[in-house]
Amino acid sequence: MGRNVVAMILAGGKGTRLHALTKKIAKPAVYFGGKYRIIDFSLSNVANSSIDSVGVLTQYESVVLNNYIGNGSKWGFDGVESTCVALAPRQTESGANWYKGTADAIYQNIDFLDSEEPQYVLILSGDHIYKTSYDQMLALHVKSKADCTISVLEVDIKEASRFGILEVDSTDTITKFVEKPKEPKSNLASMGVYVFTYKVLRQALVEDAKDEKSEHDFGKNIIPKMLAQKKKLVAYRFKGYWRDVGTLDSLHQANMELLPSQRSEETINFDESPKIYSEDTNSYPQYIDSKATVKDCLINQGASIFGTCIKSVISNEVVIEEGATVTNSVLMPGVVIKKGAYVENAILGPDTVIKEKEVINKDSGKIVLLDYERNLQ
Amino acid sequence: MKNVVALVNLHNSPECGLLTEKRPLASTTVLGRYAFIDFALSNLTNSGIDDIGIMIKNHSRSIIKHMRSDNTYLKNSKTGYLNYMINEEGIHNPFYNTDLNNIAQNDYFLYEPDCKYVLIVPVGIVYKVNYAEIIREHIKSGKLFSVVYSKVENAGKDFFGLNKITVNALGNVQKIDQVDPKDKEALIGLKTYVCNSSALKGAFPKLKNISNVFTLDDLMLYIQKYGDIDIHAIEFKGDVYYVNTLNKYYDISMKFKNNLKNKETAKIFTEDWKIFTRTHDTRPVYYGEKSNVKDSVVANGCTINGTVKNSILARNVTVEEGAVVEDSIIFSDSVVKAGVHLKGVVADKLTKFISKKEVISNKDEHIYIPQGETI
Repeated sequence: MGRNVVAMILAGGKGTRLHALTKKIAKPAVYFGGKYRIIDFSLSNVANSSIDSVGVLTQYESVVLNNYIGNGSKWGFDGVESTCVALAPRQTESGANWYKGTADAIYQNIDFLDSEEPQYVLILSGDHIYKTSYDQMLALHVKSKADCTISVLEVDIKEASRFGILEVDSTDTITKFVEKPKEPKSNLASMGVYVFTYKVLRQALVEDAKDEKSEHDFGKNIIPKMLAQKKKLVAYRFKGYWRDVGTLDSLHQANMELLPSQRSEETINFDESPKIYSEDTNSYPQYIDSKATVKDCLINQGASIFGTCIKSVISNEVVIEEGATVTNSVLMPGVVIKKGAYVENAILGPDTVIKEKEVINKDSGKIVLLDYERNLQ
Repeated sequence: MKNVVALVNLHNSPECGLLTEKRPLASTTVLGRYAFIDFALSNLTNSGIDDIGIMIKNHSRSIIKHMRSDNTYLKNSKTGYLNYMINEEGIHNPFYNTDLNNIAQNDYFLYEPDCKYVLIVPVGIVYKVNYAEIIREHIKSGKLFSVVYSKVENAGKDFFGLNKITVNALGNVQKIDQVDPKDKEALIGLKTYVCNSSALKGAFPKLKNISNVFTLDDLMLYIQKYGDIDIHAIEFKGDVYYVNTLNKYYDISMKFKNNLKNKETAKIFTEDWKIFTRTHDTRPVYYGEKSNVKDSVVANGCTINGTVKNSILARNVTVEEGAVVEDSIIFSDSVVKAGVHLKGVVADKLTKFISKKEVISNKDEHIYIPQGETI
């Protein structure tokens, strides 16, 4: 008996705009919110939607990400008849190829989907921050007898030209899809989250693979072609907190939005069930020293704060030594701020060490990134 | 270590009054993140011992709830084995619900071909030890039974309730006595035993004909007094902590807190020795703009807007703006509302401090607030 739904998470992106953070790891493996990696959100959302089969499509610098995904136990995918598998490009009889696009990544793993025999396939990106259950979207897809349902976000019309924009009729049936239109006629932006009826998807992928002119991309090729073929495509209106953390500024901003002073009712709520799951680092509890000052911060287990920490997100195994000050910054695991140092408006990559009395980015007003090799971007 | 079966002995855990009324010490919280059993199990994990039995005396629900998954402590969930041992026949009779009877009821492991040595470890005595070295010394001694001991100062003050031993020139146990309250320097038995499994298996038929041997401690005393074999004594050099009262629980918790500040103070929390525990998937801690936290350990899931000094907060504790928590240990999911001042308090989980403005202990005794109380 086949499965009802299989999720496929696209996690092969390089994330070049995150500079040194993605030099050695794929963007979905980048740390976020003091405790999480970006892909934790997608995988937790899938787990919390009672979907028990998931393929994670990895490509760029996949070692860390593949290792992190493991057997999926961090998100509970190690249960009976559950499957969580990292699907990196591989050599087959027809040769070895990198994934040429999002659609090609799914096409190259069509044997995985065939073996799972799903009725529906949920395709989503592994580099977005949001908390949801896909239940309602799947229910809409089934009820509307759609071939494809696309999750959309209502964005400011001024910002719409940055996104893939969908035009819909009065029943939210999609009539047109335009990738980054110069003059957008709608404010419904595609979130890159799709539900396909598998039979339809399979046929579309096979046809697309034969098309030498295709870029093998869902937004550019698969969706427009399905519209041209008069397939039924429906928009699902997502409401809630959703962030694309593709740049240093947006990564910093999304981290800052988690701080107590900046949280709103809309902000992702970690306390409300279901939870966002992540790796437990087996860290010791965090320690705040008698000489420390901590205000408006999010601090993970394993951190030791002896200095001053204001408006910052602090990961496990971070040490802020006595007399050091960190403000408005994001410190990833293992960062050490030595005595008397000062850090402002910064993202510090894993294991970065700031020397004694060193001053980083004071009063510049811009966000800077330092990694363990100390490359200032 | 494939030829070792380890038994975590919850039968001889100390009772700490109300603190252990609804749970054993094994599942009582330590430093807001751990339970006491985590130290015993992490020693085994870090020593490469993957075949483990938990000898449960009572409150099994609390233990199983804490343990939750084998994968927390075992290196390999297929080749490793974690088993809950309950003395089903004797559990309702305090005289028969002993560690020896528990082993007798669950003695299948003694018949496993790989089980050459049995290591029995306590929960109420916390120390960081590589059991692989202990077992190597046991094998090297050629003896059938070994006991692990530690040389301590202030035995009467810190270790009353345990046994002290005398070791002869050959490194074997010469005498076993109870610790006297007046004792200063002494060699304290750590309720940690290594046995050749064949010897332990062979002892059970003989025990049927002997009265007054109910526990492993009794067995060791009997062998030492009347047996024709020697018990080898293996010294553990390092810090040892024994929790047997609420005040000791408090003092040791604060020592562990200081260990996180300075890794040299207690030598339990060191970078080379992970303490494994189950995850609750709680978020990092929120420190609000009005938070004032000094010299404290805080577990994930907490929300702090008030003042916290010299304290330990477990998972999901809320300290509202204007509240003060000093010299206190607050268990998980508790709430301290605005305007409340706590000092010298040990508050069990799910407690709520709502309207009483001050709960302040005297210097010698800490105030214990039972689980779920609303003050």
